[in-house]
Amino acid sequence: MTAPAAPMRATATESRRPRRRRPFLVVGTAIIGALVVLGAVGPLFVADPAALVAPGFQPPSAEHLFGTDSYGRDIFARSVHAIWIDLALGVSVAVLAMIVGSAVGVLSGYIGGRFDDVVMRLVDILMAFPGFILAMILLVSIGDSIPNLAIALAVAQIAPFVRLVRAKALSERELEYVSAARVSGSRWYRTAYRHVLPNSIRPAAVQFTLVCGYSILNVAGLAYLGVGIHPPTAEWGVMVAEGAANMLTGQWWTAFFPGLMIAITVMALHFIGDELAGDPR
Amino acid sequence: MTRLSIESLSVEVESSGARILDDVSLTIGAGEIVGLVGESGSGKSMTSLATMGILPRGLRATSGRFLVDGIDVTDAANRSVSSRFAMIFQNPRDSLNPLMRVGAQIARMVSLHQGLDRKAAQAEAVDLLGRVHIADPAAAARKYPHQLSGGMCQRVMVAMALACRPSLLIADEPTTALDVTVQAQILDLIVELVEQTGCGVLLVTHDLGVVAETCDRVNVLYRGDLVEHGATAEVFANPQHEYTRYLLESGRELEVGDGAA
Amino acid sequence: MIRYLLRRVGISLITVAGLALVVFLVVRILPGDAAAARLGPEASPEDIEALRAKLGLDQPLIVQLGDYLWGLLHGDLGLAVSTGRPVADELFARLPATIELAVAGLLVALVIGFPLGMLAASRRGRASDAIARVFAVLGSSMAPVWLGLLLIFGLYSVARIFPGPVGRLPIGMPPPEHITGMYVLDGLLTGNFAATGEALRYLALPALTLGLGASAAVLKMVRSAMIATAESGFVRTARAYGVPGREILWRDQLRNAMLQVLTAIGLVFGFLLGGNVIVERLFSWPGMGRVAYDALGSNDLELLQGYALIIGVIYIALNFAVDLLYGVIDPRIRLGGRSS
Repeated sequence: MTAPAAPMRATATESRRPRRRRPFLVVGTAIIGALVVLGAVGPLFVADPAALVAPGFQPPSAEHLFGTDSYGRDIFARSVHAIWIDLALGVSVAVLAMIVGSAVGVLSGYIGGRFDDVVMRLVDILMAFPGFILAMILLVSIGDSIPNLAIALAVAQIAPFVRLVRAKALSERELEYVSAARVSGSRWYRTAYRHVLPNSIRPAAVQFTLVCGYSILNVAGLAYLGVGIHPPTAEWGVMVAEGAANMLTGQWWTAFFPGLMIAITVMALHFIGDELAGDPR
Repeated sequence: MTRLSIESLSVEVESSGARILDDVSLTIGAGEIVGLVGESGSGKSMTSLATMGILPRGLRATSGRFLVDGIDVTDAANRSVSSRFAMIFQNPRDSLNPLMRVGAQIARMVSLHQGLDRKAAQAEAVDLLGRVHIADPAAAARKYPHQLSGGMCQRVMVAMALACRPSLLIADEPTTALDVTVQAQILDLIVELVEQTGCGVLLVTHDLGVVAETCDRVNVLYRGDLVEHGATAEVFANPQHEYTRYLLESGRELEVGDGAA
Repeated sequence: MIRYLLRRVGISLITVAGLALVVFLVVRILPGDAAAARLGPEASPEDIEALRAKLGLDQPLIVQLGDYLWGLLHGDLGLAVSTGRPVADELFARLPATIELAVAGLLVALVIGFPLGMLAASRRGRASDAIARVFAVLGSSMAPVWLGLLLIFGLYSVARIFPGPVGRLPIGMPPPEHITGMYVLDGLLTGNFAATGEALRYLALPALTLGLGASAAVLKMVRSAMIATAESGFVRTARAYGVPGREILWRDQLRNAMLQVLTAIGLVFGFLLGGNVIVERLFSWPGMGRVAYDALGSNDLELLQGYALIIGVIYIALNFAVDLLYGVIDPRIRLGGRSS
């Protein structure tokens, strides 16, 4: 329930920190970049995700890199087609959560008083709930569809954005009373736009990458429970769910490769987020 | 007798090789209080940390010899235990473990440096708290740091220093975080202890007023270089280096400003 | 201390009340008719109306809310439409299995995450730190289903070290006499050590699945707390006065770091509860998550609502317990502010 750890305090006032090289940032960005490119041009070169290209359960081979599933669909082709679906879902959830969360956070910080109290209590309640379960119950009660999936996942991730932006808005408001901005008649939304927003970008970007990652994981989890995205859509989580039963009968590749795609993608997002956050603590 | 002599100490940033301290040498005699002044960033805190052998991560001493009571203690490994250094810091409350009673924290140093058993160490701790003029030392020993004021915490730190029976006390901005009245009390306490124990003191500060009041001699540090040293009165009356003059002038301006306010 | 305690109790109660309200609103107010959803597309309008009346959905919202809250106060979570039994009975019967799994997962997370976090902090910036960081990122990048499948494949299908995903005990083995409902514990309490042994073997893979993911969070938390205390003034003092490194580690650093890690454990437990629907389905574990999964399949909103509420309450209760423990350990809270 705590906010992210405060930035590092230098032990001694006189220590100067040298610039660090950032291998994790490079690796993370490279992976995401490669995925975006593969997702864009890959579908032109691989089979249709629904095409039955071979007998079922072919193990990985030169011809079918990731093998084929129970129907004989090419898992590599399906995984490539799924890249943009998963990335788009992750990004749209994060964008949604960020926009709504930031707006509420700015308002809460500026209006203050009762409104702020109510918002913060709500945020506490949202945070008193494992995000996955909140998304699950929301999705079921507003109806199982892909837009609703994005909404449900976004609602479950709004709270941290609210906290983060509100904190910046509050500290900015403090500053404002001493500065001339208030006196010269500048409006609150202008301050929000000029000062709060730029100051929030870095922590929000960190949260953004994390939320992208969580969302891809949660989509997979929900698919395994039979809600959210459904077969026969070529989506990593759905493919893991479809392949789950085959794990016990020996066809490990049907679930392994789509799950690996998820792990690599989310890992790259985490790398980027960790490095943006500075010293990983 | 010379309590401490630092011979050509240089410190640099490990990764970039940037110099923090360049060839700094100074000596402190028995019963002498020696000031080390400079602005923040001048390297004065690094001098004290390097002397204690506790440079922060990423910094490295490239040269330098340390002698205490004439014994070479350059090897950092057993420096503090063997040669009776003690140190007090700028933020006394942060310098104490928040989860331990202050008596226990002093007693721990007593048993470490005087080899007393637990009970004797505890009694000695209470005794030490009395020596730093804390009114009810037995009660104070049972307190946690957060229950004491900043000035009280600094007294506890001084008591902890005494527990080591130090040859040398390094005081790094010991009064900066305290109220003006408390500042004077802590400085008086340090002077009193020097008279009682004959230890040497390296007083690191940016405050020339503190130096003028307490220090026998003063060293001026500017961007890692020792630019001037001498008896306090002489340096103040007749500064040789431009930077010292600048420091003295800005100090005077500050005092005038304080007076007006 | 008493004020602190009362404040914590107050905050927890408010949060629970808010939670009940939010859960209620999520299920009732949002678009989508619960009755229609439950009966499926072929239901006639008359059937839907009848069910709405039976569920009280035709009443004004405020009346529904009143009924709901009144019921909650009496431990009544409504009727599970899919099974016809009270929601509370359905869920509480499965609570011990879920708690047993979550606690085991927490232990796994602590046993793996704690030492690795300490190691990473002490080797900060060096190779082992980087490896620990990569492990942490990996742990939080794997979909729980996938991690579970990998463990099943590796440790059951191939290596045959642990039993397959068929529940809490071998098929046909009677559970130990019911005391707590947690088989490992009940076996110990009744002297039925065979049952405890088997229960542990069957617990291993699901607990590993939950715990490995959570261990990443523990690792990060321990690492940052240890680094923060390593840079603190009191550790600098201890080092300056020549306190041996080992004593500094245990007496100064670790005890202070524990305070921060304690808070994190509440969060980690929430993560474990969140993952349990998936893991319980994967391992055929007959806990609350399994009930929730079945409720998803049959669109039983009452049951899901009850599940969400209980998870939320457990989570809040746990964080309350953490706060209490905090008060006991930290003299700054136990004794309050300055007394001098």
